Amino acid sequence: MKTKKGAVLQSLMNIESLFEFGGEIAPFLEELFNFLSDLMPILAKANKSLENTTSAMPEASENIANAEQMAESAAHTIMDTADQVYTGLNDLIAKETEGETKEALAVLAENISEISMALQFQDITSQHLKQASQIVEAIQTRMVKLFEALQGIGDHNELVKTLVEKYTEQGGEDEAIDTTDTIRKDDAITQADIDALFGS
Amino acid sequence: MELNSKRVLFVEDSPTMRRIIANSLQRLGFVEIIEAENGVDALSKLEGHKIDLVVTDWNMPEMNGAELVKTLRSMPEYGEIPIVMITTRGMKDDVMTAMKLGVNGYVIKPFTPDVLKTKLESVLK
Repeated sequence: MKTKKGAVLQSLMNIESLFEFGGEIAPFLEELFNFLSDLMPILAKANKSLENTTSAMPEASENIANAEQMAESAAHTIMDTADQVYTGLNDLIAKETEGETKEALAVLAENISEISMALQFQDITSQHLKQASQIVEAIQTRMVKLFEALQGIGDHNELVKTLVEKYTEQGGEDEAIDTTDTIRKDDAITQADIDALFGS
Repeated sequence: MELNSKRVLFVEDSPTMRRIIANSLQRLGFVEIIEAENGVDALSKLEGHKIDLVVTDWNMPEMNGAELVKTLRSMPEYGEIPIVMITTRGMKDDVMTAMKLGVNGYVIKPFTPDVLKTKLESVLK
């Protein structure tokens, strides 16, 4: 009986200490709630911007792909010409006997070869662009998931629900960060279209 | 070193880079050059050919250079074949990974013909 009383007393003391702990932690929780309330409008703005950039992403990727295509095509045009010059110079070198002219032609052949080698930049920049795009896409995907998860929690928890409501209220169209300057619309126009516009 | 008697397989997905490397190999004296666009293509082109040297990029679709090296090293007929990697991956960890996989030479892009020549001659010794 004594032991039972002791156990009950111990339980009461535990509850008391829990209340004491609760009393101590309450101001912290309030602070945390206030902090999250302040944070929600900022998250809402970020989310809105993410939505905008996500829809613009395929367009931006397409623009990068077009730029890569153009750079590759230009690199091949340069290489075609460089190869012709290189072959021509080597033909001349073969016909020349020893002397200054032969040496000068050899230097020119070397220079033209270096021009071709320098076109490696096209592949290298293309790879860097692809990497940068992949990183941006990965960050964006994870941020979107984070916002979705945050909204999901709000369905089960009153406190989070209040925060999410605050977040949703702030997430209006006007709050979004404008990215139109950085991500252009696809206004591509052909030379034929331009000529038609000028009536020539 | 006589490079004109060696048959080289080089693997590169970028058309620009493929052309640059093909030109470089020709100018270094290689006559028999087999091109492949990725690891899978390389493995299919190895069939029926005796190859003396493999030159491969790392970042490629379908099967990358590291996977290709791993596959080649697991095949008895290519376990000892010299392999040179030409890549933009310039981190120490990358080089270490390549070495562990069994790559014999590693060239960072952009490369010069002299660097390529030195590496190829070194692995073909």
